[in-house]
Amino acid sequence: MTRGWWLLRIETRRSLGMWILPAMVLLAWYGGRERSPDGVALWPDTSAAIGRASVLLGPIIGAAAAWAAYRDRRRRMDELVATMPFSGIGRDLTVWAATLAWACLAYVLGGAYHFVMTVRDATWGEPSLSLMVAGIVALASYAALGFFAGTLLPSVFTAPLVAIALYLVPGMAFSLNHGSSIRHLSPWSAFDPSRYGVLHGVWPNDAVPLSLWLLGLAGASLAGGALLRRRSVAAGAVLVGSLVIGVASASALVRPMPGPEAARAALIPYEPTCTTNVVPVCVHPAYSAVLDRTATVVGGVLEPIVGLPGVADRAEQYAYIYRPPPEGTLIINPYNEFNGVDHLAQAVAGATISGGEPLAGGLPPSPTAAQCAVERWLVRRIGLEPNSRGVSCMPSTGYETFLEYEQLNVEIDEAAARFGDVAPSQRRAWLEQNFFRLRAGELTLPDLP
Amino acid sequence: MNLVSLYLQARFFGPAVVGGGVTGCFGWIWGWRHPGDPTVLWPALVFCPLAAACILGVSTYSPFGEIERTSSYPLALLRLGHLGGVFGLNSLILVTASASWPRSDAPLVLLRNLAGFAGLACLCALVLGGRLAWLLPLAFGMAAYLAGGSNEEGGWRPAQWAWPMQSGADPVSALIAVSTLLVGFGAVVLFGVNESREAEG
Repeated sequence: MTRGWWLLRIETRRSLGMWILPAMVLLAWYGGRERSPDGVALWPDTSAAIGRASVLLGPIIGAAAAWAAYRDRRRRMDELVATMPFSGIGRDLTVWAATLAWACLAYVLGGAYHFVMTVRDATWGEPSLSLMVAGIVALASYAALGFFAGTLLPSVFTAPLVAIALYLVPGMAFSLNHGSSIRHLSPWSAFDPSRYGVLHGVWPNDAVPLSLWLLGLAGASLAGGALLRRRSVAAGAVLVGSLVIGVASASALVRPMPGPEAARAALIPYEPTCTTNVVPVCVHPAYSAVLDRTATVVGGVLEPIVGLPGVADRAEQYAYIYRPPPEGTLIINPYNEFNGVDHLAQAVAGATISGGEPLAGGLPPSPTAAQCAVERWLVRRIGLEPNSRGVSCMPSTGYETFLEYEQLNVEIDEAAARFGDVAPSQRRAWLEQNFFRLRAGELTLPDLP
Repeated sequence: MNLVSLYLQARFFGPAVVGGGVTGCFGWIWGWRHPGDPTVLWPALVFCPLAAACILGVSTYSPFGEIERTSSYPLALLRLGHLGGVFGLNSLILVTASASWPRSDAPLVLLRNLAGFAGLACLCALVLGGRLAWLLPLAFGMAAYLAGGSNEEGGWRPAQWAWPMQSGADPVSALIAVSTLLVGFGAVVLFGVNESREAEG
């Protein structure tokens, strides 16, 4: 057995990763959960969710690597260790690899649970190994960046601040740069839910260029750390090589998302499964398990307004950017853990009352207070609570402070309750007379009965 | 007085307050960069107190071990003064930084999150030692942030366990945070942190 292998074994046993393994497994399990409803298990969603666990584990292991990077200095052993007959760069790589090994173990253990569950329950698709491997590469990159930071700034405060930076910087680069292709450099982007689903699988799949970009980042960080320790041609060459790989793959990532034409070409054909509850409701066959519940919610919301001009006579799980939707069809997304049945009900009510023409593309205009009152009534009448997840309809104007926002919220709730107390025949007559003006946003709260 | 000064120096009191100040500056800049959008403030509402709490936790590290415990001066009083001082100053800094934020409950959320994370950091220091006190609040804070978006329009309400993501008016999360702070502070003040180097990697 080589000296390097022995040293790796020793470092692995000394690593902070061993102490925090249970917490990391828990985080990997939590981060790797996907949000499909019961009875639906989709491979693209599971693959991306397993990879997404790396954005949660990464900052922790980055902090652990930063902690390990200045361990010898912290214990005032750096000069003693320097006398070892083993290169300093080799020692650094061993410490980094030992720390990373524990994170990879946690990632594999956490992901294995979701993988096995999906093998058992999968209703659609195939696993995307490239996404899951990209998660491991992301961990290596996080650990290398943390190790570099720990080498550069040896302080007891470095590790926690590195962890926060490693979480915030990629997270914010992704979240706050809507419309900018810079966000694709963040590992969060490759695991973004908008990139996968039953309509197109994992698309566009940037796992390979992202992995290369992250490998370049990892190589540059490790080489940078080695150069801080001692200038050498080999470390310089690795730094240059990593930068070349990183820049080349970053340029492949930093590009606009493919347009609707390409999206249409990538659409995977399917035959929807349908049922009727007030109106026909259709979903992708992978979502058959939730069809009845979805139809109950859609039918329940539309029941008092069905037949009025502009109200859809059919609902389908569909993405209108792929092809023109059928006439009079309301586009729905089946509920899931994030977007529960209350969210589905609110979405149906919103698209019908305040979303303009149901078939129109783009963002709907801001709802008026009167529209919100009717929408909330439609959701509450089927026993759901529009405020339960903070998805309640709310105008985006008409208030400046939090208190004004709360006051308007209460007024809308009161108007919704008043509207619900009106006799059904009287309410229907009012709707038939005023529905067009309500949808056009011409009515105010006092105009409601 | 000299003893108090030496104790605070050994506990990185100065760097801890400076770190809190830097965190506060970051929060102020964040709020200034995103005026008029209360939902974009969530990263600052969670991570500024998280960073300040991690710094507080790390500052509980005891460099002297048993030697310190032979002191005739009551250590609990020194620990309480140190923790209370860092917590109070960091609270003041964060509340001041949030004065211009477009959220009326921002100071409450910041104080609650600082209290809860500081309590978690102290509990972690009790088990793993002061230098690793950041582990528990960090892991919990990131999981809670991932679990919940904002409670305003366009978001969803996070589960109750993710108390750092609840609005400032939520009494249950405030109760959880204050209880965690009291238990954490109480434990560290009474028993000190784990001084075994075994767990320090």
